[in-house]
Amino acid sequence: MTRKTTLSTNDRRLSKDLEQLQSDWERMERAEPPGLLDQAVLNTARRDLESKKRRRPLKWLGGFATATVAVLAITVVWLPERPADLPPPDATGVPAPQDKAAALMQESAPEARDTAPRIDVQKTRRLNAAPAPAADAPALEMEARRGEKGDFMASESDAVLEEEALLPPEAWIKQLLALKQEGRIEELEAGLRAFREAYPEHPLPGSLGQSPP
Amino acid sequence: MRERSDEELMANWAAGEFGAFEALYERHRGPLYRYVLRQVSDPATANDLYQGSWEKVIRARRSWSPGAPFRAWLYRIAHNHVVDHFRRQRPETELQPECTESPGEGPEQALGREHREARLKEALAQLSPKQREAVLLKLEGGLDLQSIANVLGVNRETAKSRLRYAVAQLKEALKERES
Repeated sequence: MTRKTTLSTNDRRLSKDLEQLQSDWERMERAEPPGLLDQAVLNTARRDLESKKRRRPLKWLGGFATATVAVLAITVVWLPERPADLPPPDATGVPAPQDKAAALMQESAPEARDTAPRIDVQKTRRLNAAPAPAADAPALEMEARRGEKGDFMASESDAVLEEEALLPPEAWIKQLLALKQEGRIEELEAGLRAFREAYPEHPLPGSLGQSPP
Repeated sequence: MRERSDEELMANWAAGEFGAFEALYERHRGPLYRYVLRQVSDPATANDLYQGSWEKVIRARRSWSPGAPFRAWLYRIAHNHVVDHFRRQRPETELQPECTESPGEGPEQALGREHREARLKEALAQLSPKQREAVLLKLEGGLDLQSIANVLGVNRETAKSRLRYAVAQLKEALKERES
């Protein structure tokens, strides 16, 4: 109790002394910061605020860029799921790698494709990225080209035979005489056989008289 | 129109209102300058420390938590800046004043207010740095005891003890003059 009273007495005395000292203190010369210093501090604060305002558009641009990337990512994910967007099969009839992958998927798990299209997309991607189909594609392409070339050569030889068959006997004989003059005996003999098959009754000149058996 | 409190101004400044900072600065520029000046006594050093303190305040404005007393926050930053200065300058004589007496002005030669002021300054310079800072926070900063304790990083009783001793010394110095 006595200690508490002493403390409060000391506090009161301190407050009283402080009040008196404060009045003496306030009568002292009031030093002020120089005007240039005031200006420097205010300029610093102004620059700080302006730099913050300038940084705001960058934040906005950052958000915009993030949104753009997100939209692109979503587009890339959803695009392969749309069958209309798949490239059409090659004109030669050779299936494209995507088609082959889709065919493989259908063969392997048609139910899964119906029920889980997102997983199918991933499978398609894996198949597209896998080396085996990629290696098959050129092979198939080469095969197709071989087929094309074979057909073309066959049709070309047929056309020659038809052209030869349609030659009149005089023109054909001229060609055979030319072969004889050039010494292409094998071709001459084959030509003579063909001529005889085509025109069995037509007479041959004496130089081509010795017809093959 | 009601005058905005320090804390309202601070919140507005943090939100980007430059006028709020101008008002805050105008309100505290004199007391903060004298708080720094009375500790170092050299105007050039005081100018540097004063400007540096405000620059730290400007940089730290985003870290100010709404509701915290602005004045204590401001003086805390200035206190740390001044302490750093003394540590850099003379680590072995930390927080010693650079000048203890106004040249060409003694208690016996001056009269009236100027003489009383000189005595007060001299008595202030003779205080220990910790006691001087405590009384400056009270007389210039206008902080209450708890805020002084917060700024100095001590408990309330320690702050009160320093303040009481400083006030007694200053009172004694003025009494000697009057007698």
